[in-house]
Amino acid sequence: MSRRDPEARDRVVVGTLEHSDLGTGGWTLVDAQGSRWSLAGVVPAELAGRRVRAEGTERALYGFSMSGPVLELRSIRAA
Amino acid sequence: MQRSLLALPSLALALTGCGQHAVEPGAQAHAELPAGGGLLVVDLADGTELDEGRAATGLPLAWATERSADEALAVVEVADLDAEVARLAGLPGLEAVEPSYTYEATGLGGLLPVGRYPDDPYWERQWNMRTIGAPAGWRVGGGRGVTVAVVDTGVSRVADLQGTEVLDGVSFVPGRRTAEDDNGHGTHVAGTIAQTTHNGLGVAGVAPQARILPLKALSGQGFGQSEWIASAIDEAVDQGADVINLSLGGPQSRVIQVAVEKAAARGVIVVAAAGNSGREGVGWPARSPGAIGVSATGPDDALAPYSSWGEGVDLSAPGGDKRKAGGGILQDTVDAGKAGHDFKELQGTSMATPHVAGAAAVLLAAGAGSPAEVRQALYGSAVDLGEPGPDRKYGQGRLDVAAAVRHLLIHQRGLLFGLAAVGGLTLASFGQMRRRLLVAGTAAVAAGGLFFLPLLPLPPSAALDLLARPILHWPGLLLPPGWAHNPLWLSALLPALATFVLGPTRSLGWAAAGLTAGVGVHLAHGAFTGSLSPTWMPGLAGQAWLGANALACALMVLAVAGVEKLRGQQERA
Repeated sequence: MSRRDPEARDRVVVGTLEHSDLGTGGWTLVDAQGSRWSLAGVVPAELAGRRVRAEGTERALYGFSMSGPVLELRSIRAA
Repeated sequence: MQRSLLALPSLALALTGCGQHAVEPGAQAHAELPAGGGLLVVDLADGTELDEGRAATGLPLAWATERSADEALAVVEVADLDAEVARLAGLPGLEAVEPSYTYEATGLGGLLPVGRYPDDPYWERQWNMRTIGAPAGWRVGGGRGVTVAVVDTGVSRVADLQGTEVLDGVSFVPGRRTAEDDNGHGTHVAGTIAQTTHNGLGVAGVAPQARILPLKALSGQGFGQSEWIASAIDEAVDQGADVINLSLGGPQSRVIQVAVEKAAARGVIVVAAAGNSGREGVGWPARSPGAIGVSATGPDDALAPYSSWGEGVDLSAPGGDKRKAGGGILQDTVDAGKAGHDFKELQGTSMATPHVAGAAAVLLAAGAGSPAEVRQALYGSAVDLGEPGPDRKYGQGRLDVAAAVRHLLIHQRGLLFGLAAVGGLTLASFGQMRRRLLVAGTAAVAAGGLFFLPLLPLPPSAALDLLARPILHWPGLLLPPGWAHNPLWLSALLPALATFVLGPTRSLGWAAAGLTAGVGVHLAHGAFTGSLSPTWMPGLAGQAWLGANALACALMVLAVAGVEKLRGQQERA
């Protein structure tokens, strides 16, 4: 999913990684301001519940998570 | 499988039985589930040996009958039927697993099937379906003939969708050629709308007779680009969908909004999820004026903690609350990356939305003539929650399918029934009171049907649905699709035939006059309200056609009345 997207912006988000129980589930990153980011991409399950640093692109994507902006991941690691 | 069947060949029987049991044709049957333990029927893949079946299931299977080896149909006594059905349901190499039912013929020519309805074993866990009164929707056709597009992660034909009509889908996700579900979200959503119901397996859906059009616009991870969603909405309209379910959301998008408004302008009902932010601020496309935005409630009828709310919420519906045991929405779906299927409890405004889409399908099948009429029935009947009147959390209130069906039956068919009765009495100003009542009664039933029948707590049946409908709705039930709105049927043709053929016979002639008056009232109502829409005649042309034919009906009744008056004068002279 890397097509033209005028809204796309590179981001580094630091926060707590949670597994969402909305719909069939997904990964959510809650940053220091309490904003919830839906993560698109591969997330190692062992990072669940930990403080992580995620780098990626904020994308104007649609989905069933509907709980915040979508961050398309380039990398994610424990902070 | 133990079956005692009585063959009762009658029209009512042939029409009855909207369930999907494998019952011999012409016989209405019902199933009694043995409590707890009992005989389990295991249908193995054809060609499976008994030993292989025993090894696969871990049960001491035996062939059901001497000739069952060919079909690989086996039985076994188990201590807990529900548990075994659940355990075996997803196993590869099994075609079906269900408790052995005892079929019995039923009373009153199959009009009143007795016994437990629905017989889906997990019905007790579907608090959501009971809350909205879903069974009332099954009594008026359960969405028969209505197409609901599910724009989502795709739809897979899991075991409990086998009796549901699922059309060939389309994928708008690059790299995915089919609309098979690689996530589980879309299949669950489709299940809430049209899960195969009263099939002795799993769970029920809101509109089990509706057909599902799977449109894959979200990836296996549940994300999609605006142009995929917009293309899917356009495709739904092109394929003739009546309702579009959008259990998805995101930022405002011009292309999606245009697609939604275009669909709404074409008379398609668009239902969209309000969002899962848990805060004020409804997402898009739920906020579009052309979409019905849906917030989510839990088993206690309070707004679910995750549900978005605010401007754009039109209705609320059960979306589940998994903080409470059994508080999720239970449907059949796939487990991404694994074989088989699973009955899963999910929560979200994604789960609330298909309740409303299913309800819209039910109302359309029950005879609602336009999206406006559907909205009126949904909004006018919703259970008021929160602040009195419409509010920003629940919109017009929480969906109540039973009340919406009641609203439609009384406001549409009840009105027609009353108008035709009055019209019949007035026009038939001839003869004795008995004759007037015959004319008025026939007119009322022809125009409004026995509209009160579905309001009684009876199990659904096609015969019940037919008897409860105006005569102009009958082709939709009895003839192939396409005939329902044929202008020849929506005309004075049938009344004219009845009048000319039956007119000369005195008692049947009265009934023909009544039929003519009733059909005339319905045609006139259709011309004024748009509740009837003859094919090939959009807009004014259709209205003019209906109006002219209504007038023809009135003239025929007046002519019959005139002839009768003359005959009376001659007899007196």
